[in-house]
Amino acid sequence: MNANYGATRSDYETAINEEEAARDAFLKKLMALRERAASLTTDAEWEKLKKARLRALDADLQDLIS
Amino acid sequence: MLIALTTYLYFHFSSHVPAVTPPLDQTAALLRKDVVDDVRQKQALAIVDQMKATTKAFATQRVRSLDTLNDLLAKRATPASQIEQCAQPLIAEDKVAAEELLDLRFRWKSVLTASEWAKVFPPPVTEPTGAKKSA
Repeated sequence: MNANYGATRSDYETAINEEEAARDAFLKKLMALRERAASLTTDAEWEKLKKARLRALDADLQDLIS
Repeated sequence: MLIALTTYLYFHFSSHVPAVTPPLDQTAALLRKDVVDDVRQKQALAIVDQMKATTKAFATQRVRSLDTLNDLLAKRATPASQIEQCAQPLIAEDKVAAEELLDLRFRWKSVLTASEWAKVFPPPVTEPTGAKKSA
């Protein structure tokens, strides 16, 4: 769409709305899975998962800043 | 894995900013090369600078918002409703930045001709279906 000189604001808004709907549906599923994972683990087990989460976040932040 | 995925999802999937932002350094180089009219070239390059400022401010804000979200994700007992509530500012700030970038994108359209546009924003190269990669 960025390459299309004739693309309209409405074209972008349609694409963005479609993406948002897909994102919202996916996030709902993910939140449900997270709650399930939280209920199946102890605080200590959850803490061990922290390293993986922080590694992923650090990599993303570096990517964003660069 | 699930927690990392959640962070990743909020970080990338929830953002429209990358989708509406062309590679700005490459765009600036092509504007210098393909827009020969000095006045319009300067106007178009000023838009690149504004886009850079918008994306930089967005990135800075994003880092702060993600810190807050990450603190919540770290706690096992955080309810989904609280995470969703915390994510709302991320979604809102993304929308504001994407709107600003779209405004700027359409200001380019008022500055460039269709033929210049085609040179500065070429369509992405896609491989034909079934094409074999050479070894």
